Amino acid sequence: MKKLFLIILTFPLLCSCAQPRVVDEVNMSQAIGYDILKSDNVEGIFVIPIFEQDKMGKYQILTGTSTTTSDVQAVVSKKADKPVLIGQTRIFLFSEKIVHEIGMTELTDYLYREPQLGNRVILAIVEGKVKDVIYTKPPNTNVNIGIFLSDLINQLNETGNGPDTNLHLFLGNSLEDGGDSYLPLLKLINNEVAVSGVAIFHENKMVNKVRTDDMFVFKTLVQSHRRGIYKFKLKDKKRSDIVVESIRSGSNYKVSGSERNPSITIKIKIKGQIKESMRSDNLTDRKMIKIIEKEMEADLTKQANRLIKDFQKKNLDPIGLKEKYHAKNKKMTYEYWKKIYPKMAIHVETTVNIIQTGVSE
Amino acid sequence: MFNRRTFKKKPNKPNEKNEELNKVSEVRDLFNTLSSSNDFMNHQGTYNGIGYWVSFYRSLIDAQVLHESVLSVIPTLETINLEQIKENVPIENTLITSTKVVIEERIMRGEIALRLDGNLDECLLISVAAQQGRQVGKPELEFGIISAQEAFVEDIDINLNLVRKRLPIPGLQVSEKTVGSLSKTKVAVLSIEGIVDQENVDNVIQRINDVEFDEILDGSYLAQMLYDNSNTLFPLFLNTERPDRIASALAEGKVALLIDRSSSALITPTILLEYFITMEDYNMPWVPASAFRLLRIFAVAFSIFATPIYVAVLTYHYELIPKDLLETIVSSRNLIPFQPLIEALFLEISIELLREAAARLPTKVGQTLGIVGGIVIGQAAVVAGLTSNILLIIVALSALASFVTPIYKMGNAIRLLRFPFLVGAQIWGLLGITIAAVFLLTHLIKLTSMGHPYLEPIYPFRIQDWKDSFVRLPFNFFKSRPVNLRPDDMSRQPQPKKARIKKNDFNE
Amino acid sequence: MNQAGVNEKYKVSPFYVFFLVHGMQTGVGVLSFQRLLAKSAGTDGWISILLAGLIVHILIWVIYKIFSIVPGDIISANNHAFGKWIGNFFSLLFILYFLIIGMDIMISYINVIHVWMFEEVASWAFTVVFLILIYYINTGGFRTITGVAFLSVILTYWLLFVLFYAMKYSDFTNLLPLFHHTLLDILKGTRSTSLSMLGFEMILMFYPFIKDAKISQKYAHGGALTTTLLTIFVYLVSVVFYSQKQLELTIWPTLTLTSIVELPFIQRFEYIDVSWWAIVIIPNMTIALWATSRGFKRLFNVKQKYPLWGMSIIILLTNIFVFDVDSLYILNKIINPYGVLFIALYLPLLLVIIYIKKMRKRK
Repeated sequence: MKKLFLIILTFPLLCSCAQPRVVDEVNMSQAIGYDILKSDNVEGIFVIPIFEQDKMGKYQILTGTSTTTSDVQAVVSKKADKPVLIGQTRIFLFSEKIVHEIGMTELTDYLYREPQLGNRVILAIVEGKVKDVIYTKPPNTNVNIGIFLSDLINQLNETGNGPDTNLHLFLGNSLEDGGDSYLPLLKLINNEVAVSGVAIFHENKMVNKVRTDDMFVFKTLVQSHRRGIYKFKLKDKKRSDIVVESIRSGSNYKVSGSERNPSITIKIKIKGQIKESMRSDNLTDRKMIKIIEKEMEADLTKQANRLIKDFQKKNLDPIGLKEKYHAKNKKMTYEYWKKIYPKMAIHVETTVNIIQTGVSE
Repeated sequence: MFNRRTFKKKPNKPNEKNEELNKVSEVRDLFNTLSSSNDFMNHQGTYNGIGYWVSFYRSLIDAQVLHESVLSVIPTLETINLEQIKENVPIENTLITSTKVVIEERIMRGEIALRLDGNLDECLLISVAAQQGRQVGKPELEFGIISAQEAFVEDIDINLNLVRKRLPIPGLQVSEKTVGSLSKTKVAVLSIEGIVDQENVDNVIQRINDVEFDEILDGSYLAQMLYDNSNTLFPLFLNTERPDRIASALAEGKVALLIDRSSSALITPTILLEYFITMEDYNMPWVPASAFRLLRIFAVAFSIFATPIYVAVLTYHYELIPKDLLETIVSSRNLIPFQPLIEALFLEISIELLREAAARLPTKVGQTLGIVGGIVIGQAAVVAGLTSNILLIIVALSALASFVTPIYKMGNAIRLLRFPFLVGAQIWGLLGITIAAVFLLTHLIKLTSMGHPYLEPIYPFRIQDWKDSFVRLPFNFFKSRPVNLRPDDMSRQPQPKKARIKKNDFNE
Repeated sequence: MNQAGVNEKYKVSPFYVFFLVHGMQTGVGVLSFQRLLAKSAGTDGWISILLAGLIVHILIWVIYKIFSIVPGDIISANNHAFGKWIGNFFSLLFILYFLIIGMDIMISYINVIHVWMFEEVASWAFTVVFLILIYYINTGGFRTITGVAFLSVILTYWLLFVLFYAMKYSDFTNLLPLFHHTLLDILKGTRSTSLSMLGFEMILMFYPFIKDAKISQKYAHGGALTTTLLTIFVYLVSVVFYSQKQLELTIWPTLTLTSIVELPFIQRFEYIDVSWWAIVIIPNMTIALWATSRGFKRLFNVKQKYPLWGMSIIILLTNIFVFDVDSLYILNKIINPYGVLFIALYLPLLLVIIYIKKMRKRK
């Protein structure tokens, strides 16, 4: 009797299998772009790879329009032979316009709520139309445009001047009071997609851009570096270019001063090696290197000061000075911070240490 | 020896009480019944006018011994009576009796019955049993490259000899039992007195006495009847054909069982991890020995979990696949019409088929089949689009991994364990695998071997027994016998009288 | 009265009390306690956890004090203090409480599975499988239950690497400023951690199953201490990983945190985490339901399997008919604050009464 009962019990269990999502029976989108149409509808563009033996990098692009971002997935599924799932998505692209009209918090709400998406998804802002970027053929034909874009941003974050970003880091900043955060900017230049800077967000809207030339300084301020590349001109007669690769960098913040005139000192330390020097001077000479170090320090400080002044003027805080200040002053409120920030004295001190000059003199 | 005699006397007693007449007809009856079999010989001879009968099973005795040691002795005697023959025959362990049961049993063991015409009820029993069977050879199932090359054969006396040679101490106790109403199989229970927990020996003997089955043809028959829990895939008694394994088990305080007509001996109580130990582990330095043991345990885990994880990930958790692998996995599955489960079952079953067939076929054919069948069927299945080549690799590897367990029966258990996990993976993906794993863990925790927990030293957690479980530590850690067995004598090495002075200090 | 006596053969070493207490305390609570704690105590949440840990230690001391006077379990202690009828009433409350704990753990975990993995599978299906598994473990007796609890702790500690991994994406200034919450906030925080601290009270039922139960007290404290430290560690990592507002938004911070992990062969780790968590949850449910059925057995003198069957059917029916997030909310409300208050107030009271009785007897 007992055994019979157990057997009867197993049958409904076998029927309660979960809904299978077999890899080759679903469309896995690897990149999703959102743009806004004139009718205020959201257009979603899904990059879905087609896997075939011996043929790499084939993909299809499906589009759909709806009023919300999450609903687009259902709309797109209606046009596809297999259900469209977003679990393998590496990158989300938003156009400047949709960010302006809808706002980042509303756009990312769906992404954070959806358990299929990991925290590591990359978000990026597109200057111009998302469609144009996604319909570009990637130069590497072995991968589809989605993987190409996410790889592009990833490698730039790891070994270049791009600041580290993903869904988690972005939300961590943007959900705070003020919502000061940043995302990489992509742009179509001569039919090639390239990173064109960093988009700065404030209170749910994109308000500023940091151009590629300033990205090294920006990244140094925001987080530590490996292998960023910095180019500057020596201030001698020839105005020759020097390129320095930073091996390691770090920034240190010191909050000081009374409540009346608070000040923050940012100390930047860079260890680097000279990549290229457009002059014939002997670089093994310590004196010459000292000069280069000094000049680079001065140049970096100048650039950083300019950036920070600009941020202060617009009351932006992508560097996260508010948290540093809050850590020292318990009673700080956001209103108070908004008041003092634009007038705050922020000093930048840079120390550059060139430890290698490459294999040639 | 002592035991055997007492055993034989027991049935003797009630017979003595019987009436003389009754007994007489019994012995004659016996010979009459035996004669109905065509290979039973009743040879009649006369010497000095006295007729004698020699009765035996032709198929059980060694004819040469019969002629040389028995029949040729008779003419040298002056007069013949049983006593005299008994004294002159150069064969030990002869007996004069008229008890039917004893006569029957001894004749069935290959002895001859010699009767004189004067008293046809009294027999002289002389053992001239044919020693047929193979020579001590190399171990086939538990082959070791750098360990001893002797394996048990189907004869209990040779097997006992192999063990005794390794443990030449009076403490090695052998108690023999007979089980099986038809097979009359001799079972020897071995243990070292003073080391073994006597309770274990008593338990084993008790359980053997309780066995009531007509035919015990092999040690594995008996093992299954002695198990604590017969509803388990796992072997609870360790089958081995290596005398050195038996010797080492006895030295640890375990009980060993030798079964006549079976080349595998049994060790009990055992723990799960013991099944991943080879005798070679002790012949190697401890670092490689431990590394290989860990490799074996990893292989078992791989063998159980690899295919189910493949099924789970491909059916439910496509998010898990890294982007570089995605292309490879999906494109290899592109043309396959089935769900991953069907695909996996197809391959698993064909590999099991190959294995089963290769085991049944004669060696030469089997080898060809194993290799050719594997390659041809696997390749054909991939080309035909029935399975993906990634799964083919996984299944082949996990089949290979299931072979690394030194004990064949454990390998069998692991082969089968994969299937419930596959079902779990199909129902609820990784969660299904986890739940199946908890079921398995619970089962293992519940299992006992002769009343000793099977999962020791993991649970119950006994740090002292970890020296010879997942890893094999150097021999100077082997100070005590496994706590699990509760041996009477714990220490394996005397405590060093003085601490060894470490004299290195960069050689001063 | 002497029913609490347990055969020496079925007792477990005092050493396992560590795992029973630690394993029982760590369950679904660890996945989700951060959100409420962050709302009330923010960066000072660790003080709340420390405070909760301290209370747990005091209560464990109280429990062992009770049993040092009245050896046995809570039922014999109740009977000793209040006599048969009132004592049985309180015992029934305890049994009910254990049942609710077991049910709450199960429903919470099924809820996690629904959200993270299989929203389409009916909750009764999970319930049936868990109940069969629990029944199977229970039939092995307390020794098997201890084994499963022990192995579950051993087998899940490797998941801690996730926390270290997450530090790469952390901002340590989030820890500052220290001490900027009021005492009231911190006490509120203590209240919201209670679900991840409960579980130690199972000692009340399994005390008679421990060999040399008196010396097991240090292991019980050790288990509770480990839980406290683990919870603090998880909380601190969550605080540095998330920003304050983000943490207050995230329902299962420990799981969301896991989704940052990317290994060369595994793209997303949280699915493994959710599945692996079953190993943590199953012994929790088992111990709770074991305690309930054992309580019934002691109170009504029935075979333990009948209350186990009965409870399984009740839980199954609950899951078939009223399973939703609301029922989880109601259960959580019953446990916290009512269950917590019951445990925290009743046990000291019981000790006092037992102590007075003892004093009187001596006179």
